[in-house]
Amino acid sequence: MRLPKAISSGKPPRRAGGRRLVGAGLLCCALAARGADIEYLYINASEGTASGGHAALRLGDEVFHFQHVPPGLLRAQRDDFAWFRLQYGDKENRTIYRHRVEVSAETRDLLRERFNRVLLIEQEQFDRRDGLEQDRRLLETFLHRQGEAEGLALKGPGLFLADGWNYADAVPEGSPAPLARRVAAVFGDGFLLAKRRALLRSLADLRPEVGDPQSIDLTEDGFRPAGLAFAERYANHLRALAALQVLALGLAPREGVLSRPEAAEFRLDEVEKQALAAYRARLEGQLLGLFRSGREDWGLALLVGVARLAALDESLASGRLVFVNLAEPPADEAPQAVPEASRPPADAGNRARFLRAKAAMAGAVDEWDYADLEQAANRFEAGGEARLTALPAQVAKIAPRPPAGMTPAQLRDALARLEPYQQAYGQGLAGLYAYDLLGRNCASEIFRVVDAAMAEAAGSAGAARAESMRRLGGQVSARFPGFIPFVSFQAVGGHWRVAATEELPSYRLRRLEQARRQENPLRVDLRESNVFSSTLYRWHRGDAAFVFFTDDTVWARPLAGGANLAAGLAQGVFGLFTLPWDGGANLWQGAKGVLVSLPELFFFNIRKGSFPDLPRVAD
Amino acid sequence: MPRLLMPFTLLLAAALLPACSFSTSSKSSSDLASSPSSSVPSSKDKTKAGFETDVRDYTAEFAKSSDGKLDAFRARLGKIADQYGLSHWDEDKSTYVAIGKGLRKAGLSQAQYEAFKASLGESQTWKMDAIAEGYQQR
Repeated sequence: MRLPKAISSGKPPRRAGGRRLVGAGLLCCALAARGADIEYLYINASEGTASGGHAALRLGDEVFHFQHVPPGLLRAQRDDFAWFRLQYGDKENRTIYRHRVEVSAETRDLLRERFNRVLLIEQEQFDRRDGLEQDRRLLETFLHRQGEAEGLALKGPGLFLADGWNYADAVPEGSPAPLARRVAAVFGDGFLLAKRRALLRSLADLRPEVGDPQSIDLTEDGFRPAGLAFAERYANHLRALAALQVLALGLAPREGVLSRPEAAEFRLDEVEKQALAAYRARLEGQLLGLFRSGREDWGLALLVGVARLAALDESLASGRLVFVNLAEPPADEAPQAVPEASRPPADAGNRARFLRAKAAMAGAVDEWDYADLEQAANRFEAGGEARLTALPAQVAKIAPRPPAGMTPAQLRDALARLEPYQQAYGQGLAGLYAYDLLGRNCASEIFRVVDAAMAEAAGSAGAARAESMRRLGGQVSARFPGFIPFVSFQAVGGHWRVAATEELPSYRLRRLEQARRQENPLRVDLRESNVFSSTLYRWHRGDAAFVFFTDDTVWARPLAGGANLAAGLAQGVFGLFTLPWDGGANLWQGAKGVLVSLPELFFFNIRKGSFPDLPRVAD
Repeated sequence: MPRLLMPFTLLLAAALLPACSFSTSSKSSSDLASSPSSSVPSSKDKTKAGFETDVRDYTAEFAKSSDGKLDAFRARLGKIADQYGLSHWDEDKSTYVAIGKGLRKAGLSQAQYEAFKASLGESQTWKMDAIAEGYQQR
């Protein structure tokens, strides 16, 4: 059973719904007797993505919530709590309030099952929608050569191949990779060539599968596996052909794919080398197994595995850890540097995590261990702010060509059948999941799913209220005003069996409190009151222009809001002049700045200032 | 005064600006979209446990649905594994133990279970043994 963590707020917890907060020791005893706890979370308003606040339900380490996604839909989301807090509490710099609710372990599991089922159903439905869109784009590219100049970007081939590689080229005689010789020894000479021919035939026969729009039957409770889209199958074929080309030519990873740090921590001792050698043999066996596998995505696994083999070979030869670089391709916009004073001490944690992962190399190593080492080594080398992928995923672009057997008439026909199906599917989803500020939003959906779970447990919808009373202490209505996130938080406090209410201050407020303890508080308050002298915050283009922070002041808020309003207006006017060049970015930001400054004139705060590039600190 | 004005300004803000979090990361599962490693737990044990739970839950739903195809099942398992940084999920025992747990969770009859065990375990002994191991765990 998970006991509650220490109250992490610097401020005393507030009363919740008339119930006085019990002491931490008493709370532990109470929860031990009842078995479990869940948390209703309210995340206060912010300028960027949620001026009305946000709501979520924490069940164990998982947080379930509903996000507003394009085009105007509400979609279930699940995050681990540490990630959720990083996103909302740190990057978006918002204070999270939480009610801990006493429930039995059975009730927590009941709720988890229901929320997770919603997630699984939606995942398949939205994947199907995305697959249809990918198919449409691919067919249009084939037909009209739209996007041909940019090329089709595929993750995986970039580990070995440069942009512009061509899967249809005859593979010239080369010096095959050692793995290719193993393949020949196991499966026979000519196996890889035969595999390539079979793949090309299969690619030529590939066709989009389009159903009848009348057959679309989307329901909130109907789980239907999405399957693979035509575009995904096409990409899988190309990746497999790329992998065979890499083996046939014995290509080495491209420059920059392997990392070779020189720090002392990356030196390998004999035990670690032996463990890596054993894993190398295991990996080679797994790569051979891919040729027998029924997986359609074996090409990517082969590309990743061959790159890792190269890294392992170099590690064993040099006695220093060499690994595949997991850094994500650079974003269009360079990340905003986090001011030094505001930077969490990530590097020490990353080093410790790397050393732990390296020490684990003493025993039998499987892919979980090796992937953990690879991840930790990347994190340690690149620093806390680097964005890493879970698996090596270097991208290379290819000129898209239709399957050889598909004529232009067939492409046109496929597109003509796909478009009405896609439209009907999108309409079906909109009918189920349309976001409605006043009726279907992040708060209302939580209570709707909770009610459904209660009805399921009770055996009928009519008994949901009684079941909710029994399990949670009461029922919260999703109707007005309960759908307003902060009102819903108060409603949970008043109706559910709340044992404690806590506040997890936003990132800036935590750092501010820390600075106040270390320096003269008055000087800190003056310095950090505005964006010009603040050492914790650096303004970036994601935030509208403003002058003063108003989330930690109340009485000075209207005055500061006036200055912020002026800054927003100034940005808007500036945006009129820059309109031809920036596509209205400044104008839009200025308008947003005005809107979030207006409530400050009436003592209400929305803007917090955000820290979008804060790194995740290693556990 | 502030208490009286708060509802007014809140309604004003709610009317003018979007409520609830707007996802800025709603990229589709396209080829370019790689799984960001930071969205999964940063410890190996938690990552593995998360993978097993997701495979179990997906298997349970898949087994209960009437129109599931094996390639769709494999495709989803591949996507789950990709999120957790596992490329050889089909050679990893934990995958099949989790599948076994999912089959139990689905509440299948013995005959249905045996049929799923054979097809999802690709009639390979070690995979079917691992499925049985998961199925027997409570």
